[in-house]
Amino acid sequence: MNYEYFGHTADVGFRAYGKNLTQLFINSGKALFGVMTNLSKVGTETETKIEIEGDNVEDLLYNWLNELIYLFETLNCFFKDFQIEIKRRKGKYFLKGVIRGEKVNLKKHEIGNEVKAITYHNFKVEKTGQKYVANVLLDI
Amino acid sequence: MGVESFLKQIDEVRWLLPKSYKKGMKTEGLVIALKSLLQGVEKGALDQLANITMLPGIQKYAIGLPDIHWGYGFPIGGVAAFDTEEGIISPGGVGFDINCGVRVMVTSLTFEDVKPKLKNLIDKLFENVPSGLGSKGKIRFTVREIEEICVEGAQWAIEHGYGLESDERYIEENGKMEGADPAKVSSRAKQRGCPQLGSLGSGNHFLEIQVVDKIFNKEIAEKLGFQKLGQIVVMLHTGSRGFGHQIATDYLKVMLGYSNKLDFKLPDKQLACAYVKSREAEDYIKAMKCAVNYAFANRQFISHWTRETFEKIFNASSEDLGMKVVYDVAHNIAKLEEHEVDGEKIRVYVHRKGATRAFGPGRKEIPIEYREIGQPVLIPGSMGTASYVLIGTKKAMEETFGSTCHGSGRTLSRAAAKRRYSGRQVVSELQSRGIYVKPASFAVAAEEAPGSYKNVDQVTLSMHKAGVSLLVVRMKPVGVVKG
Repeated sequence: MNYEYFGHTADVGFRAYGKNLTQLFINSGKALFGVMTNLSKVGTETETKIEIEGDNVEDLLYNWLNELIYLFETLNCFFKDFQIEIKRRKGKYFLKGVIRGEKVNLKKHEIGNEVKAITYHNFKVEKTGQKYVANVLLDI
Repeated sequence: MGVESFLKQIDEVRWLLPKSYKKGMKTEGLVIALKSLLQGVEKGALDQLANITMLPGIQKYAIGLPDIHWGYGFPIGGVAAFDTEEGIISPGGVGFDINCGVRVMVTSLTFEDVKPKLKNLIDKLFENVPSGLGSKGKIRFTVREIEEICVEGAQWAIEHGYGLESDERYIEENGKMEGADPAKVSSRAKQRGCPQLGSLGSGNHFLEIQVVDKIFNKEIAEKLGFQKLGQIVVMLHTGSRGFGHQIATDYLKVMLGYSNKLDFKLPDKQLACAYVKSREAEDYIKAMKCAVNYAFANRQFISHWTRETFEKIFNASSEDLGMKVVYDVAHNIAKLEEHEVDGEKIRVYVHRKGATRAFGPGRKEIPIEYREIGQPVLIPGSMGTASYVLIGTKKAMEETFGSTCHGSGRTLSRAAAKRRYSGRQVVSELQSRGIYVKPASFAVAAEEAPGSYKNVDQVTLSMHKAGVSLLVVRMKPVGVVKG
């Protein structure tokens, strides 16, 4: 499983999984956009570069998801294809890559929820065995 | 079983959350709710209420209102006031949607006038008021304009032709909170804010055509502009859009960076805060005020387009249609206010997260026309259920830092609601009950199904019975533009 949603009274949460950090971040990105629309109907003709950093893995994930919300709102684009790499240098984490998606088209895309923000409520990244798990609660 | 086993009942609607509930509680919690509503409250919401009481400088007690539910950091439907000397300010006590709020306009139209044109009216409102996920306003604002608007608030919109001069008198803070500083707002927030000003957004936001269906207090109702049963009223519910969400996100990080300067351990990361007198807290308040003003302007633009739509459909000016703003209230905000604590008047920072100010008669913050009767409180129901107007009381000043509930409060998670209901079915069922709903998203309509919320009648009745805010008017929806 790549990601799953869980209920929280006011909002929506997801747990994303990955065999490595990169996969965890890709699946988290999909889980985020999966709240907004049905990703199977979204194309990949629009692309943009992305570059962010974080003090630790959790900080990087928080910044990554916030960056995606920002790009969604300012470029008006659903993203589904993430080609990214994550590196650790001098104790900090860096994410760099290209993300692809499609401009919002009300005739073509299913419209779901607006995500206001990423909360810190039980926000965590854990490694269990060979697998990374991220727990994220979105403010809807 | 509900959460009442953890609470000590004081009277029919008052419950005490004792200090023994959770280690570290500095003071008690007070929950105001009819017993029937406690059935739907999660233990997580009580835990969050308990967490607030651990923050330094808290005054009296942390307050849970009848619409309380599990949020993040503070519970939604929560109020806490903090001392300005030792207390803190927490962006989590305001929420991401800063100044999410409600505005009500009355009209001189009756349901009979509107009925034959209702579908057309809602369809046109849906066209004229952008709504839904990532909705964009109709005007393209520049960053410079956003910077002016976040200082001037609704007054900017009015000065630029979007509304009547008299509108600003009937908005909390006159639609312009003093002390906003756009230099404290990130460029990302401004960029998110530019395209979205003048839009409803998604989730529980809406624009509703309602009919006055019950008048509880004729004298006060008339003073507020509610003249008779069957009168048409407009209610809108939206906030500060991506602009406010980004400001909250930015300052949550700032506050987390500050946490090592606190002399206590945060019970929850989402409660990140800073001492009132710190630069971090001062900066947040200046930025928060920008979002407050943005949201007041947002509701002002939408009111203007609503009036324009009515003018077109009914072929008369909005003045002739009697379209007057009753009031506009914030329900996610932190404010420096004077309150009496232990017989002494002191200034405190009141955090209202999913809570409405409900000042009693005589307070100078209330528009002069209403000052003798108290501040109007606007309580939206869930989609398809009634909404209410209440009035603030002296009791609210004594007991809840002049605060009351903000809505019905969820009981079912969005995921559970979506499993239980289909959006199209919800819309057609409401249609068969005479409520025409135009949703931006059927998925959201399913999540917002009336059955996912607490009973708003019980919520408002709880406050009425507590004497904290008194029932004035009930309205029933007949048409809904749903974000």
